[in-house]
Amino acid sequence: MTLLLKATQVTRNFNVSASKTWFAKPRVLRAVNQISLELSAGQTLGLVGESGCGKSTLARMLIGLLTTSSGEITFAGQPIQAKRNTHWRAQRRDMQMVYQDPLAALDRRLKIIDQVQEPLVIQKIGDRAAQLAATREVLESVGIGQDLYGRYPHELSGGQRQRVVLARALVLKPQLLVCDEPISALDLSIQAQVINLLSQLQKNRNLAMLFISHDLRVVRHICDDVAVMYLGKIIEQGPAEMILSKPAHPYTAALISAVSHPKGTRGSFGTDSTPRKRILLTGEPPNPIDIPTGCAFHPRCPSVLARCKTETPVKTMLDARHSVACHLHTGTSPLVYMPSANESLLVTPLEALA
Amino acid sequence: MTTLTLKLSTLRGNLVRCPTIVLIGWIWLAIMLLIALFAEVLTPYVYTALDLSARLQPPVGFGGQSNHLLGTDELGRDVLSRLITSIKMSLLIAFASTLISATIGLTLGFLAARFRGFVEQAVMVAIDFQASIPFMLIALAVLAFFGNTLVLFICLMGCHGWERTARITRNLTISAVEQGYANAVEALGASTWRIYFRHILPNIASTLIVSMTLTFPEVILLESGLSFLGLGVQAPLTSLGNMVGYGREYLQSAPWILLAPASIIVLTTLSISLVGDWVRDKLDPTLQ
Amino acid sequence: MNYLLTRGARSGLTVLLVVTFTFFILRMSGDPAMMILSADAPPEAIEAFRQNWGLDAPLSHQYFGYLGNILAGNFGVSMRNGASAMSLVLEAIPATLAITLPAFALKLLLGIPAGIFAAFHRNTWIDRLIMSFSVAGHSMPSFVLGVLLVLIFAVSLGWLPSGGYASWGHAILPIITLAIGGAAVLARYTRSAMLEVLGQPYIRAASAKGLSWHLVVIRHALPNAAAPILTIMGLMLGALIAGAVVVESVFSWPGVGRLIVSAVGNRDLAVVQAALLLVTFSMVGANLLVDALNVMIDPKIRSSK
Repeated sequence: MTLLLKATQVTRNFNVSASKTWFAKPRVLRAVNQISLELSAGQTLGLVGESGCGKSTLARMLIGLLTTSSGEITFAGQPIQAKRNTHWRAQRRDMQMVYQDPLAALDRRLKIIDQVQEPLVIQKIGDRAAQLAATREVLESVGIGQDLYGRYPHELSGGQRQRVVLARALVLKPQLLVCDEPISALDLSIQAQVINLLSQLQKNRNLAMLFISHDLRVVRHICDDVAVMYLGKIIEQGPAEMILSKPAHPYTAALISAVSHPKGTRGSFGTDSTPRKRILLTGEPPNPIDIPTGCAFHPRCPSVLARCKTETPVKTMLDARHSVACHLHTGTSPLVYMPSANESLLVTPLEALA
Repeated sequence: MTTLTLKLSTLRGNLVRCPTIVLIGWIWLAIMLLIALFAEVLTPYVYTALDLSARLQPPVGFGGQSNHLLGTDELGRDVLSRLITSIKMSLLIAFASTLISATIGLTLGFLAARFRGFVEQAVMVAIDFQASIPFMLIALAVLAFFGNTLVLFICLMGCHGWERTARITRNLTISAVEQGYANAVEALGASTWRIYFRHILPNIASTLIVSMTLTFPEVILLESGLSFLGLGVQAPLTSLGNMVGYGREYLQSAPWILLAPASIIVLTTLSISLVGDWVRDKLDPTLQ
Repeated sequence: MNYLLTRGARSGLTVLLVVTFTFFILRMSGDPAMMILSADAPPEAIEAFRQNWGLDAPLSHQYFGYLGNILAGNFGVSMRNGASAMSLVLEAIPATLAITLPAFALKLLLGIPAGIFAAFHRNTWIDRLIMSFSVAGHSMPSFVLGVLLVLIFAVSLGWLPSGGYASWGHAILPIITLAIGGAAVLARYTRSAMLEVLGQPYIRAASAKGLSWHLVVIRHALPNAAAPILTIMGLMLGALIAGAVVVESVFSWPGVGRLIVSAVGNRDLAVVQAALLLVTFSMVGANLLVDALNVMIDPKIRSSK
């Protein structure tokens, strides 16, 4: 698999003033904090986390829509900078984005066929006939029939709109596709259709795909790898199956346990369907302006240790592809994850040794 | 707000269904427009032509002769010809000014929305300034200091009303950008020019047109007021307000000199009000 | 409070801008010494004037000198009769007030009840009649209206004089002319404000309580409709002054408006300056007052900032 996208220590800060008066001291919002990741052709990486953890910000930086405060991003060896120049415009052919709200992402006044054709016009690819042919082809591949070509966005259903947005993104034949919560705005019954479509298109075109979502079931269905974000950092990363069935980080475990299931199978992504107890996190929801010291998760962590309050955990490889940033897994006595019914999911080192 | 505006094509479709009085308004405006366009052909006399032997003749039907349908003024000039020429002048100034004002407003509004920060603040301060002083006073000051040529006057009239357009443009552009499609099109590689002119502008067009339907009659009133005072369109050129101003001296002896242009002004601004209200209702029912 | 401070700062900025604006166009339009003194004044007088006003100093000095003069009330002298420009303007103020204040009151007395009445009888012939008058009054320029009134009442009927300042009778037509345009606008806005308020659920609740219509209007509808109406009144102050300029000329009424017009015609820059700045100050001040009233009346503004 060829490596396409590589991000190294990417950070993004925002300056915000805390209140509306004139004299507030500007505070810094750390949306993304030193994140590194890689993405190859044909690979789907899921990016999960709560609202405000920085997923969208990271995605925008990776695709060149937002400047980084520090760090480097390269695509096929070429640096990605968010400066709008000719080079940037040419780069748009290689990477595109699908948005959460398809109605907002489309121009209300234009017919959908014109909007799907527009990228070709902007990038001056082919003559009119060729552009029309390519447009029809991509619309067909997303399942939009000819009778819908002349319609306006508000005349389509939510699922159809999202497919149009997808078509528009794919008409340039990009190598990288970023999907920012592409199905959250859709009805449940439509979500499956769109997800299957995405999966199929990705295979056909060997796309590298970054899939942002807070819905773990979908992530499991479509992603090869998953990265879990919390307050701007990736706290766990690895193959989807492994992370979702054997989470190493308490936060990941809490997220999984929150996924509702038919009675008795809560939190079961793994092969064993032992019922799990719902982990309720205590403490305040995370605020990216006021990031806690040490491990950012420590105020809410059910298995917090003393060192979590002062030391930031570093990334530890648990095996070839599964990494985690948690003190439970660093240090001299790495922990073994042992789920058991009706008990807390994590066991302290002492008990493990017993 | 953009979700509430109808497309312009729906507006045209509604034309057939408007109330009678509004229809009359449309017809009147169309007549005025035709007169303005074909003024040279329509005038029986050149508007400056003197005929001192036929001074202060009343209109046909009040004792006058048929060669001067609306009578003559104190220098023997044909009132009808002067009226037609004045209509052309007043409408010309009104159209030119509305266009200039719309262009200034659009440009500044876009700049403010695009660049935010200092540029935006500067534009907002300028908008506030313009909005808080009655334009009549600004116009008077400029006319005092710079004297008066037609070009200067038109530019001055073009400075009326831009603040309303600028404010609307800025607000709507910001919300259009927030909505997302502007960013989406940019992510496809579109240039700023394309984003603004092919995407944002058409989406805010209906609201802008509403604003322009307010500016147009205001310019007519402003120009005729200033010309009435002798400060607007200067002799030998003639405009509707100008005629009313000159005709005032002869109010008792030859009222037709003044009544002809005055009635044109009233009927035209009335038509514009009625038509403008109707257009505004159709384009955006949420506006007053 | 914060809101008022912001508005106050903005108003101050506006005034400063007007002063600067006047300064710059004065400089740009020619040599001010020549303009204010007149072209054929003796060279020594011009030199003296220049030194007096610091015109040989760099521009920034001149600007601050100008500001200082303004604060001291020194606007220069009128070209026509050598009198101090500011004193000429001040002399003309009472005449202007004599017609604008009654006109303002008349506007309120005519416009607001008309609007309320029209709102109550929505879509009946009363409503349509009032709104027709409103549209007519609004689209007729004040000078046309004034001239027509003169034609009807002075020339044809001979009831009222056509111009001049001699008696109270002379003031009637100017006041009516000024009032009608504004009353028309006010009627319309009052009507829509009232309609919006009357459509609210709390009005229905109030009348369901058993209150008579009059009480519902006075206690519930009017106070809530007051805020947008007050805003419009603030805007109308500006229109009033602009209207006075034209109306005073129509009726040869010796107020500030007519002074400005003749000064503009004569290029009497000192007077134009003085009048412009005075009008700006008072307008900005009045608008600020209206804002303050708005804050007191409308709790929503108070709590939002």
